[in-house]
Amino acid sequence: MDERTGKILKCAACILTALYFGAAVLAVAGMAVLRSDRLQAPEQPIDFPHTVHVGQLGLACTYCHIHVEDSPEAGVPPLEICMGCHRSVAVDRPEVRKLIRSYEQKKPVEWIKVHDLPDFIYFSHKRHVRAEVDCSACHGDVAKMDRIKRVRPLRMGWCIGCHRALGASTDCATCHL
Amino acid sequence: MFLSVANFQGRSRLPLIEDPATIDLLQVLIFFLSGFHFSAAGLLLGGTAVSLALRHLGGTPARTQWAVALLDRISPGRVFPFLVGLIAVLAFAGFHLLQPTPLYDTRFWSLLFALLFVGLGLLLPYRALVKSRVRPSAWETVLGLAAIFCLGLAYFLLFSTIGLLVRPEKWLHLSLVPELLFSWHGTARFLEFILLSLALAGSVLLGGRYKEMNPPRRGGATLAFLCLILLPIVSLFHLHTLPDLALSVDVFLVSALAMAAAGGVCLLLIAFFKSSVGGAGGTVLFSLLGILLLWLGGDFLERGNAMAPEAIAMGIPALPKATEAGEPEKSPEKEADPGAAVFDRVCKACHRFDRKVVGPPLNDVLPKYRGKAEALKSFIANPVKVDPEYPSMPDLNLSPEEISAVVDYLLEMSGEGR
Repeated sequence: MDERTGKILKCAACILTALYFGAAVLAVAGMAVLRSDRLQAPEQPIDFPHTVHVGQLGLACTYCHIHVEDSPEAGVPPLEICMGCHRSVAVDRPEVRKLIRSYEQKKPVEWIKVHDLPDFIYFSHKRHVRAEVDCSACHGDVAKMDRIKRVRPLRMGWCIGCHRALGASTDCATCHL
Repeated sequence: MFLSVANFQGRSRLPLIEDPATIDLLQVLIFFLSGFHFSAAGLLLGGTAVSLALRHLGGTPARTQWAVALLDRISPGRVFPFLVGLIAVLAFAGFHLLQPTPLYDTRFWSLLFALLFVGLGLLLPYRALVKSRVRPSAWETVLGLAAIFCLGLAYFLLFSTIGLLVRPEKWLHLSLVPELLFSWHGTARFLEFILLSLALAGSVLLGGRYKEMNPPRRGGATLAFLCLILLPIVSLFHLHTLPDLALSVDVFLVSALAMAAAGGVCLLLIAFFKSSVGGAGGTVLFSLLGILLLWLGGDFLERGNAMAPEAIAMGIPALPKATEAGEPEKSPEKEADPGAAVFDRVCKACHRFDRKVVGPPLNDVLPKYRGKAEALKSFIANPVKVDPEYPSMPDLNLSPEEISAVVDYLLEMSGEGR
C-alpha cells in the first residue's frame, strides 16, 4: 500500500482503538455512577447507632423489633419503646431531641428501609425467625454498624442457596404468591 | 465434604497477628508474591499454549525455533516452574494467616496445589521434547495439552475460590450445595487471567531474536493485540457480576486505569505493526505486567470491601429439623423463668448486676430491698428519681404479674432465699 494510505490507515486504527478503549472506560464510569447508590448505608432521619444500643448496651434485637417472631412484617419499633429510656436518658443529644419531637407531635419517624424486597415477593419474617435463622445471617453484624448497611445481596439466588442448604421449600409459590 | 463449618465462629482463628503494622506489611508482601506468581504462571501457561500452537500450525523448522526460543525465555531453568508453585503456596499461607476463612479444608487445598504442581511439572518433559525434535511428536502434544489442562483447571478452581471470598453469604452452605463454588465473577477473573497470559506470551514472542525477525514478532504482537482488545469486555462483565458489597470507587478506578493502560499498549502495538520498531517487546511486556498488577490490586480491593467485619459475621443457621413437609415451626416455648424473661426483655437495656450501664448496678441497689418485695414492686410500678447521679427510671408499663415475676427473679439473684 502507498505511504499516504498507510498513514491514513494507521491514524484510523489508532483512532478506532482509542475510541474503543475510551468507550470501555466510559462504561466503567457509567457503571460506577449507576451502582453507587445501591445499598450503601443511607442517611436516616434520626442517626440511630446500633453500635451503641446493640454493641455497648447489649440490647437484644427483639427488645425493639418486637414483632419479628409473630408477624410476616418485621417493622421498626414504635416510638414508645424508644421513649421508654429516652424519656430521661440522653435527652440533651440532638438526635434524641428529634426523637422526642416526633413523639410529642405524634408523627412516626420516616425511616428509610434498607432491607427492602420488591412488592411481588412474599417474605415472612416470623417463619425465618422461628426456623432459628440467626438475625446476623441476613442482616450481618448489626452491632458493628453505625448506620445500617445491607451486607447481603437479597437476591433470589442467595435465598435459594440457603433454602436448598437448609431443606426449606424451593417451590415458586413459597415466595412468589 | 471439603468444608469444616463446625470450626467457624465468624472470627479470626488466629489472633496472633493483630498488630496493624504487621498486617499491612503482610498484605503488601502477599500482594507482591501473588503478583510475581500470577505473572510467572501466566507466562508459563500462555507460553506453553502458544508454543503448542506454533508446533502444530505449519510445523516448519522456523516455527520450531520460535517455539523453543519462547519456551527458553519464559522458563529459565528447570527449577523455575517449581519456584513459581512454591511462591503460590507461600502467598496462600500468608493470606490464611491474615484472614482465615471457613472455605475449604486441607484436603481441598492439597488437591488444588497438587494439580498446580503436576501441571507445572509436566512443562519440563514437554520442553525437553520440543527442544529435541523438529516435528512435534504425539507424546509432546499429549504432555503439552495435559500441562495446559492441569494448570487451566487449577487456576479456574483457584479463581472460583477467590471469587467466593467476596460472597460471605455463600460460605456456610458450601458443604451442602457444593456448586456454590462457581460464580460469574470468578469465571470472568479466570478469563482475564487467560487473556493476560496469552498477551504476555505474545509480548515475549515480540521481543525475541530470530533468524527472520518479522513473522514471529508480528505473530506475537497480533496475539497480544487481540487479547488486549478482548480484555475490556471481560473486565466489564466481571464488574457487572460483582456483588454490590465488593464495589467502591477505587475498584472502578483501578479497572478504568487497567483499561486505559491496555489501550495505550494497543496503540504501541499499532505503531509496531506500521514501522516494526525495535525494543517494543520489552515495553509491551512491562506494561502488561503493570496491567496484571492493577488487575490484582483490584482483586485485593474488592475483597477488602466485601470482607468487612459486619458482613463476615453471620449466625449459624440451625440444621434442618425433621418437621412434616410444609408445616411451619411452632412458636418458641416461653422461658422457664418468666422473671428472667422480663428482665432480659425490659430491664437489661439499662441494668446489669455488676456494673453501671444506664442505671446503677443492681448488686448495689437490691440489698436494701431484701425482705421488702412489696416496696420493690411499688417502685418498679411507679419509679421516682432517687439518685441525682443517674437519670430517672422510666415507667415501663409492666403488668402486675410481670412486676411480680421480675421482683422474684431479682431478689433471688441478689441472694435472698424465697
